[in-house]
Amino acid sequence: MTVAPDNPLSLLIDLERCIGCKSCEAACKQSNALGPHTYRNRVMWYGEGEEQTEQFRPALLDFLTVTCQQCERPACLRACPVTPKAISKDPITGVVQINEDRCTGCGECAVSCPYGAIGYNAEKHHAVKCDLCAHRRAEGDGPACASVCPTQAIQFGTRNDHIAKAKAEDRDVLDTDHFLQKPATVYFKRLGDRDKTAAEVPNLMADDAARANLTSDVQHGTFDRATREQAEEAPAIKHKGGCNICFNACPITYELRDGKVTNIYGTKDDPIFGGRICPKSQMTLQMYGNPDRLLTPLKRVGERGSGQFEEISWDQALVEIAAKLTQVRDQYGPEALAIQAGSRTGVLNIMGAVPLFADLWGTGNLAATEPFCDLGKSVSLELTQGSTMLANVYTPEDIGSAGMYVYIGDNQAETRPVNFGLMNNWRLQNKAKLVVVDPRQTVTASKADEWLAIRPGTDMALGLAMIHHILSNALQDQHFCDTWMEGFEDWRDYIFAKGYDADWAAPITDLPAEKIRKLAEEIARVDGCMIYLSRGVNQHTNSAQTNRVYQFLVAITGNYGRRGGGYFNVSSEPDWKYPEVPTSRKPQTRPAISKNPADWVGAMLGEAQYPIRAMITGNNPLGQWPNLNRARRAVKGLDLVVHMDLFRNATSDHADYVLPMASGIEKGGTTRFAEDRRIVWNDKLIDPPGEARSDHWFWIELGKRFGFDDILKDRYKDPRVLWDEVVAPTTPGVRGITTKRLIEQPSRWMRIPAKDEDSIAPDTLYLEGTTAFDAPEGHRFPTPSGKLEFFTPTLEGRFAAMGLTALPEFYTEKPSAHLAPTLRYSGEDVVSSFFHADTYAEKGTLVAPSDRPVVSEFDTELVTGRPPAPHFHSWTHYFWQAQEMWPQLYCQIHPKKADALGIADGDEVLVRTENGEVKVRAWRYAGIRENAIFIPIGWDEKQPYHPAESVNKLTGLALDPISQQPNLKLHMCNLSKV
Amino acid sequence: MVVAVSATLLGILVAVPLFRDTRPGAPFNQACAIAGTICLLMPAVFFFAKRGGAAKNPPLWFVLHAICGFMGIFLISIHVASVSALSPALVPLVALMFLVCQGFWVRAFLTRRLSFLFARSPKSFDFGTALPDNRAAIGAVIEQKTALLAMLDPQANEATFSPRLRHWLRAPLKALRYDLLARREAALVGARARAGFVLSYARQLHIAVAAIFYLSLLAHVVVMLFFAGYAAKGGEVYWWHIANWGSK
Repeated sequence: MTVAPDNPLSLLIDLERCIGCKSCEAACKQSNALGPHTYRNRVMWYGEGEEQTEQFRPALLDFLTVTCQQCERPACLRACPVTPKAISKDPITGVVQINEDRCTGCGECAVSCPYGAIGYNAEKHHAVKCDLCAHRRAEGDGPACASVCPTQAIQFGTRNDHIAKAKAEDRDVLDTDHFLQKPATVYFKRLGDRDKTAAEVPNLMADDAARANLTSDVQHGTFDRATREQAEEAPAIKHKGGCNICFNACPITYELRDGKVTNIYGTKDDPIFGGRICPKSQMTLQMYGNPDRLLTPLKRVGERGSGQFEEISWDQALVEIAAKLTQVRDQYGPEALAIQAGSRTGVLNIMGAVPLFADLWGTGNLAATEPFCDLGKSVSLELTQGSTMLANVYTPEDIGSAGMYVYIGDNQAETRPVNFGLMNNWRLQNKAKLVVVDPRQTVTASKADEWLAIRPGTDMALGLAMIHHILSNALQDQHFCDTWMEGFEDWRDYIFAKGYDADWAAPITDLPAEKIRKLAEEIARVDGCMIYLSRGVNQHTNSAQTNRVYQFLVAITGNYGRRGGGYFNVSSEPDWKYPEVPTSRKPQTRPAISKNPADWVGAMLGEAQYPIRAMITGNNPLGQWPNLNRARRAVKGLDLVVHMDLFRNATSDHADYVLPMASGIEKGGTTRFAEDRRIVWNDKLIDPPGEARSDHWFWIELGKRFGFDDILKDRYKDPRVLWDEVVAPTTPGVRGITTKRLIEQPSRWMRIPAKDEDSIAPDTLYLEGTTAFDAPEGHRFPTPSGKLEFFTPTLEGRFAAMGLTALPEFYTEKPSAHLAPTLRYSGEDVVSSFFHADTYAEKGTLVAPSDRPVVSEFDTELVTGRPPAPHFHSWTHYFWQAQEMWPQLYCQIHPKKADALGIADGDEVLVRTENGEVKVRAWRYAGIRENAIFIPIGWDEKQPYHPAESVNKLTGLALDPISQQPNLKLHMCNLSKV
Repeated sequence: MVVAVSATLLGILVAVPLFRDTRPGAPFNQACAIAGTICLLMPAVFFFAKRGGAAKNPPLWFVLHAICGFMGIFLISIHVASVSALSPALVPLVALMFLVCQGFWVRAFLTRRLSFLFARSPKSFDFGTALPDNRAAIGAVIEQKTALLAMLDPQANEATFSPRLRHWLRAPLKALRYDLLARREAALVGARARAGFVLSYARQLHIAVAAIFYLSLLAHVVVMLFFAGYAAKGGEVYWWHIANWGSK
């Protein structure tokens, strides 16, 4: 890079690539020790003007990253009244810098900058601005924002290089020199950029008053300049590991000084991710040493739900919990204990310590968050391909070579921004088409070539209609169908017999038949199509069947087991097996009440085969479970509730004991499995705060009170021992992934499957000519037949036992009962054959469509889902910066609907369903079905900054009979302005 | 800041009743006035030091200017504790009260809004209603500035130049012309207008009122020293204590 006065250093910001995730904001604040309201860069969201409501119109959402333009004629510098000026411009690099030691805080620069790119620290009273991370450049690095950007929307270089890149890639550059300041920052326009004169920032993002409670008091650790400067006197030691928040397991590098974490960035030399991470990984800085962390065990002293506790010792807590568990077991049996582990709890516990304890104790009522996230996918993968391991990986040769990407109910840009960034770069590079099917225009959809605003719960109908069209027009890969599919003809004949064509699907899906046919043809004809499904498909009562339908679609189009084509549905787990406990040590147990913990509520209320009287839980089930009001009533009546977490939340208030837990590098262990079959190892690098302990420490200590320590051994408190001796040997796919190997890896990650320490996992699985992992020779897929199995007599028998068929008979959610068959529960519980442990499940039967729509006061579709990228479930609500980015619970509502109800942007709105009501702020957004609203998950009323009632007060509990995945994507509601 | 404001308020609340029955020109009151005036000269020194390059640590000077302002108003409150009638001498007092109150409000509250300005100029990036195209007019102003700068400070670069104290002292008319051109450019750019009147001009207002304060203070001192009879309105001239020293 040749820097010269006429070729200054600058940032390139690509508006096509930017997904508004705010990772750059997080990086900037951690790198420059900036607190709330003090910005050197900021990403704003813009919704399209309300008159732009043409159906299926993509790009209704835009993002603008604002940072210093490093002008050649900087207005800020000229406005500075101090002599010598507190702002200077480097004559060589062109970087405009503030000397904060000379700044008197008059603010003249801020009001003079035409780009709104001068920040201000209102606590310390001085201006701040981007200097392209001078301190990092001095060490030969580049700006923090560019280093982390998940989509590489921000790049660092010289202005001439950016302009040359624009020419090379045939990209238009945004003209920002309206004021003849000669800005150096280069913006690439969106492809097919349009007039944005009607674009508006949602009130939610621009409401400074809503963020007023975020003062310097919330800062801690590295975000406080004095603390940081003191810390920087110690040398930095870097440790590689992975982010432990979500299931993307992004490789990260922890920077420790004097035993404290001072920075968290992406691992720059990772061959795939190259340092890209989302804001959540970085904001875990606000988890370590957070003043709101639980520090000691607490015992309830007030009424349950009152939130009154006293501090007790660990010993007292363990002794008392053990005594109460014994009472429960003696009175109701061991199954009366239910255990919910969660995403924070970690793989070591979910697959190691917890099932060991549960087996020794004698309860099958054991669950993690899978039944809410993707159990429908896991069940359907096991049925169809005989393994839960997904085929494809994020490499240029595999996913990067696809000719088309179709996302159905998967908002990857907000849920896994880094993977979306990889895909998005490849699709731009290869000019591959991107289609998104979703009831609302998510960030993912806003980048798509085409957005299909489908009716929630009808993705299966869309899939069936596409299959019908492909088969009707002989567009299928007949070789694959003949060779590698079991039950192809059965499905084909059934789909034809049922008449599941595009014209049938159009009124059900609310999509034009022509669009359905076109999409089917494109998928069939393109050389490699990646079909991504996720929660939008999984969280329905037809979850397993819908997943099977799309597996069928992928298969008949020859996209199964190839590079650049495939079926995807986060995340990709090995075929887990629980650690073995000697039979002699296992009490005889009754089947589990349900695979889905929310369905334990009936047993808690005494309405099931046997009662559940005690619960030990991580995470926040009393914010997470559907039909929350009923769930809370049930939990209030339990004999024992133990809550293990990092922070107090809604669940804590219902607990008898609240236990302080450790997370991430406070306890060490693995991340969860990413969708491309990666797992990352984290060493224990720091001590947890106060008396917080790892989850497995708790289970081992509790086990000791019951004499389990010969199996749940004390030495398993070392996470490496627990992984190497318990978890890894049990599951063949991870047997070869020892901690020794993981630690030897440059970025500490490996892919599965690896059966022994000499094995290296292949990139793409199930390729033609290969034998599947752990399968008989010649079995391309690890099913009994070696083929993808869609219909066999055995399968049919299993489905029939649940009142359904293995053939793809379409049904949907009750609100669409006038359009298609729906599910009716029989009231009869049977032991399901779809799970590895005996579990009760309620049979269902399909009922014919009703004559007319149900007339009800609840007339609006309610869709729930993940909020934008900075949030993940409840724990980011304790990070001040996530709160600064997205503070309040909101609902996206179409302007036409809002107008009809007299609701303005930012108004407080009361949303009601038959299950409850919540108050939210309105976000008028044209990118949603006109009769739908969207409310995100994760908020609860006990959070410190912007508490709000959980959206699950609105949802009900209806389960897929096959997978026991609940419908969380379609409820009927009404709303009114408060 | 809060401590300084609280102490000042408390001091004034105690001092005013305590000295209500004294006269402004009484020896102690007058000594307070002189000491207060000396304190209140500090902001002016800050103003010039900041612009003249004499301040090695401008933020510290800023703090001193604020502290001296608070001390000054406290001392002046003793001087004026007994004043109840309207007179021209109240002009500097009112100006001083405004300066202290406005200065505190700006620093404690208004600056918060400066941080909220960040990323609030979407029009500059073609989001929202289009900006007026002022490029030609801005270009013309830049040309005029460049030509004028060649006479005002030939070594300077227009891109980063704004008149300093030395320019104002050496070539006040050229500096003024340049400053007016810079203001013209700023108006065409429109950033201040978009930031809002209060935020953009609170500081300018502070400086303008400070100028009124110093001028009216000077006038007050001149009248009291040289036009004492006029100031006494025919009454007793009792405040020439220095002149009286040693007369007995």
